[in-house]
Amino acid sequence: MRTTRWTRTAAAAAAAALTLTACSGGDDETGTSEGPVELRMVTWTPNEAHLAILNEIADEFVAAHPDEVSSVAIETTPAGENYRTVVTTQISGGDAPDVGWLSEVDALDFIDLDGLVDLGPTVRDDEAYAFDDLTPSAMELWSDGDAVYGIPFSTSPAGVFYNADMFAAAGLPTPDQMLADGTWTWENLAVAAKAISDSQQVAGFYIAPYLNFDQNWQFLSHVTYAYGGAPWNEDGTECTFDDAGNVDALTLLHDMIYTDGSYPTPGEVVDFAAGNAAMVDTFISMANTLESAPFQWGLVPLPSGPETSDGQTAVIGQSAVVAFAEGDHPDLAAEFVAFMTNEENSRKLSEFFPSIRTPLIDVDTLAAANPVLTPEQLQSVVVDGITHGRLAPTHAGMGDIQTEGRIGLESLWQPDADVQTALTGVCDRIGPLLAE
Amino acid sequence: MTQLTDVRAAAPGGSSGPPARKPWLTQPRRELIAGYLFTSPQVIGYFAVVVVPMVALFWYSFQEFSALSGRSEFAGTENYQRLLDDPNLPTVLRSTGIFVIGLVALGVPLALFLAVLVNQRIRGIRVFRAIFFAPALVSVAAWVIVWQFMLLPDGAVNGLLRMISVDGPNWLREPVPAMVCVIVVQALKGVGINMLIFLAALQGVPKELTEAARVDGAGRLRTFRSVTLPMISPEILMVTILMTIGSLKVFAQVLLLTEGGPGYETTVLAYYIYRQAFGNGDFGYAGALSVLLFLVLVVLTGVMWVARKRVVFHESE
Repeated sequence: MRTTRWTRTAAAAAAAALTLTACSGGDDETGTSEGPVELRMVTWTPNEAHLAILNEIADEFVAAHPDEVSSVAIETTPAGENYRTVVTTQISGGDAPDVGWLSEVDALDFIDLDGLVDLGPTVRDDEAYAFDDLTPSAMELWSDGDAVYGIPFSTSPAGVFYNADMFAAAGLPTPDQMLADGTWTWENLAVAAKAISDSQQVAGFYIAPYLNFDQNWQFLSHVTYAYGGAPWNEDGTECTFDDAGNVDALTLLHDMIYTDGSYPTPGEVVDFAAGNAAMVDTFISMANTLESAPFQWGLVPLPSGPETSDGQTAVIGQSAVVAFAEGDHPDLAAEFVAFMTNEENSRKLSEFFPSIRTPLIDVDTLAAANPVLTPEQLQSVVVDGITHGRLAPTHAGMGDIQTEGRIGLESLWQPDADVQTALTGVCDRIGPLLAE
Repeated sequence: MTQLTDVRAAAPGGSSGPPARKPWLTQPRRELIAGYLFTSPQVIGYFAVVVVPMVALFWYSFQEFSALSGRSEFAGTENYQRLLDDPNLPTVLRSTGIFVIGLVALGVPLALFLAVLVNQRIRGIRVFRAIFFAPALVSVAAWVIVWQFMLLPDGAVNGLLRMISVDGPNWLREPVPAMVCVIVVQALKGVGINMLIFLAALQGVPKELTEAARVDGAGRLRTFRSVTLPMISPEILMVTILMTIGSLKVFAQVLLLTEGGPGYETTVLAYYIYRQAFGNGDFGYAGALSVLLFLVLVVLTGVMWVARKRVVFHESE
């Protein structure tokens, strides 16, 4: 009797497990053969206006493909690491979304592991899509030969916002004036930051995406690129974090923090929009938060450095629309990505996100999305930035590399750190990961 | 009941014909089925959220799993080999050990001390009990985020220290202070529940025993050490076991307070598993680490259970 009972229990357990496994799988590789299907798209925007446009585009896609697609469900997951976690968990759980947004940090990981659908055949062969309108430099990360793994829908250059009232109070030329005079360099930024910090007891300058000295150290490239520094060589196989360009650039930042006291120390909280910092290096979307700022402000491109060539200092951040290879309907997903990023829909999206389509990279189009920026700011920061900007460094296996880099850099952000030694320590940590 | 009567009436005995076939659905079977049906929601739930994930975990640990592409292939013992080769794992295990020992060493005496303090029959004592218990009711995220603000370089803690002319450290960015903060924040969060367990135990100690000790000339401290402590030793053991197991599973506090830093100094095993699985998408290695954590928990619990005979009053009899 006892054996029978155990047998029954085990059978019930196996049945439950099989049922659960079956439920979690849910792969329907047949695609459109069984009638219209539902596509799932994941994004990180909670903004209702963004979602309204995405839904409008989705509805138009459904209307254009009534026999293949019944609906497109658009799901929002908060940005940052949580977004990647949710997407990867869905993929590994057999419930991959069909389409989604992807930031440049994650691009190479997904491409390297065949996680994305090649959109090349869908977008290159369609004349109406006008693939050649996409700015080649902005497509570099997402292309490999003829293969296309994502279409950037948002390309945002970084710039320096400054508090004009603080510069006036300190009697200093503003960054705009320095830019006009040809003296807008990182050294002069540091001098101005110290002068304002000393006289007005505020932070002189900070890099907003790296305020917490956390995983996002790739944004140090805003400074290091100007000194010819990059964390690894061009093919990404060797660490170059300890070369002279990086040492010079990060010595400047280290001195600002621990000698000048003009840059917030790790853990300090400052906010340019709240009026407690003279300058901030961040993406142009900050302009929207400054609409009602109680101070005069300006925006200039990133400063130049000894290795800046042709005056181009721009560093850009990118987000692309991709089709996930593990989604149930990869072909339809590729078509939806192409539809969402065609010229007409790119124009709609450019109301919020700077596009990489050449006809849309002009001051008039961008002014609609950024009404608080002047035509001069749009030209010098946004148009030039999208056209000539470099991406912040990224690499396959970026999650591990970011963690080890953060830990390595902890020894740099100490008052008595030797910059060269600390950066050699960073290479000791990330070097083996680059070689893998 | 009607059916029961019918079944009995149809039973063989009075009839001279061939014996009637016994119905399959007898009363004991009926009760058995009813029992299974009543317990099935719990059993199915247990299988769905405990057994299946545990089996899957072992399966993952033998796979090379690419979370980004959703594909996996059998990797043999490769992930377990990585446990031996991982240069960060010794630091993680050391941090985990320090955290567990620190939390138990601080949490158990603190809870017992507070329980003794509030085990008084004085006016307004319930207010103090409520105050000490309150952190247990606050969500972990809210509790940790408030502490994070207080522990910033220019936060409330260093502000208080400055009032007595002490320059506080950068609490969450320096190795030793960061670990101290993680331990203290977690200990204060959980102290209320443990205090209540000890309070109930203290109130269950027979008064005649303590009074007899007093009559024999024992002072307060001696009475506590020789009478009260042995009487509540089962609860002390239980709290110690629960706290040890709980501390090995701490994750959200580390994520929100220090993100495992500086270096790997506050990266406890549960947080390291999270980083491997969801930060790096390496579910295979995360599975092997989880099996390691499972074994550590089993061994520790076993050791404490065996040790109870030595430390718990009456257990050796």
